Amino acid sequence: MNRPIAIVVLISALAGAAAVRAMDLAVVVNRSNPVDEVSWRELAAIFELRQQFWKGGDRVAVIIQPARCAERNVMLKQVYHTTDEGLNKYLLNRMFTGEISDFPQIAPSNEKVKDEIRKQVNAIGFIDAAAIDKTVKVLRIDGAAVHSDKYRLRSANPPS
Amino acid sequence: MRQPKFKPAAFGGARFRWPTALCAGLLLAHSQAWSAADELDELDELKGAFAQLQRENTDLRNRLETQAQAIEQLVSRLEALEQKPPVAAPNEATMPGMTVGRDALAISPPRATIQWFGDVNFQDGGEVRNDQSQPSSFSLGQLGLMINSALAQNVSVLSEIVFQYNENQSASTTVERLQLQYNLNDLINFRLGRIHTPFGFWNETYHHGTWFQTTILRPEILRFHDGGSVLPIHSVGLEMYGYQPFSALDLQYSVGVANGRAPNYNETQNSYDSNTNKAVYAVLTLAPAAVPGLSFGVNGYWDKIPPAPPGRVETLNESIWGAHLVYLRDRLELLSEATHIEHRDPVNSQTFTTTGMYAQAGYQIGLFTPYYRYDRLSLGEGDPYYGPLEVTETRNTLGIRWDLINWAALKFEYQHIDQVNLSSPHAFYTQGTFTF
Repeated sequence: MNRPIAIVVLISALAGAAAVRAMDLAVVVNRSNPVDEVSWRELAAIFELRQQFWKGGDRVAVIIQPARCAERNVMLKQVYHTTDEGLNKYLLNRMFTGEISDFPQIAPSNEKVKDEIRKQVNAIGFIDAAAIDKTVKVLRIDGAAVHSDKYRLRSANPPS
Repeated sequence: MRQPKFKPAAFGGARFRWPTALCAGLLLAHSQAWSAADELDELDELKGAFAQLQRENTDLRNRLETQAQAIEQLVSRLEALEQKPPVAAPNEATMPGMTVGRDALAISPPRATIQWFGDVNFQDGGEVRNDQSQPSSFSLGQLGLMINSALAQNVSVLSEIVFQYNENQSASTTVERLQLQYNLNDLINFRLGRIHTPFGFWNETYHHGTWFQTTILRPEILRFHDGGSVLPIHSVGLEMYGYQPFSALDLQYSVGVANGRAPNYNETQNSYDSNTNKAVYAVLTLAPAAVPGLSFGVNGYWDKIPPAPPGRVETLNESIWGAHLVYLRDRLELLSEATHIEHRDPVNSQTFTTTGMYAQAGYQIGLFTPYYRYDRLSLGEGDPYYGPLEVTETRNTLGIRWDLINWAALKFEYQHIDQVNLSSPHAFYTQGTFTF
């Protein structure tokens, strides 16, 4: 293969790789929250509002992002296993059965999620890992840190 | 031209030299002493100025710290205010300085989530009234009003009021649920009031909200017959419930004590208990971690049914057992429940057994969910508690649900009904169901 063709092929491969780059989703809590890690099942239980209390006894304040945004789509696929409409019905049903008395808070962007997490000691939310900064604490999931190979909460390579 | 040399002696001669030198020395000494005193004064002044600057610096530092603390407090209050719901604009007609409405309260009343559920229906076949098949009919279903409010972080209230037309065309309003809830943690929670008795899955999960359920009709074991159900689907009492995850499975439980069955099967003991005995019940559900979406469990209910003279004078011992197996994941829905009801007359040791079960499968494809359900109810022959009620049937239901928008759906069902007194085994149902 001559050099120009090889360069074109290399650039195309790199561009393709960038296009399908997985988006890691970071699960974040307030910096004063003593929790450093959750299991995948705990994560699902918290965001599905089945587990509503931290181990310390305080009520969990769940913050989710609005419908149709990329971060929420990852959560829908990986954690909730449903669509936006399915999540609507699920949350309304949780209220109908009396298992929750209020819906999760909606924060419209990664920055707003971090703002709310910073304000609310018991809050938990999810943001694009690219938006991580020192204002929030990032939780490990099943011992894996965000961006590591074993990290499961990302847009590509969904867990089985 | 040559300049003459300067010679001091030329002014006064040799006799003036010593006094002049003395005077000059004195002047020099005086001037030096004067200069040293000036320097000391300047040093003192500088020291004073330095001390003054130090004091001012300390004052400024203190003021800066005070202001920084004040700013932090203001930021905290601002953040707290941002979290509060917006306060309604005051009434313009109000006198200046006067406070009205919620503003007059030291603490705002709790907010409430209000949600309505309703359905409208069309039916052709499948029902018998006055020993005759019912003509095809449009009908209003139930209009349910659910209100849910958190009174405090751990205390909430849930109410559900249902408006509907009965089989005799009269309107009725029923407080279907009114429960005060206390949540200590995930494992220990309490609800007090009128609740949905936790029989397996369907009764608690769907109940009056037809929008939640995939099918049009409930399973026969949970369906209303003459205003009541074969099962005690409502209870007035106290229930403890909770959730506990373990490494291999999640556990959910409910245990409760309630007024129990009324003398007639289609009544609920809302305001008093007819006998001193209380009903007790329990349900246990397990969800294995290895199969997300799968859950199964068992439930039991025990009571002494008070007499209903003059027709029935004896007390009946009631025991109900049930089991459920449910799989809900992604777009697949698999539901199944089985129930065994036993009424025992302790006087003549006669036992009446009622059984019911259903198995339902549905799969969502886009906006459509085709489904099938097998449903069977066999009422205990001669059971004095159910009186003239005779419902022994098998239903095969084939239908499709169309979620045409987020909050409304249309359902179309065909049912094949195996029941002795029906003129035709075929029935068609259509339902528009919504929430708003």
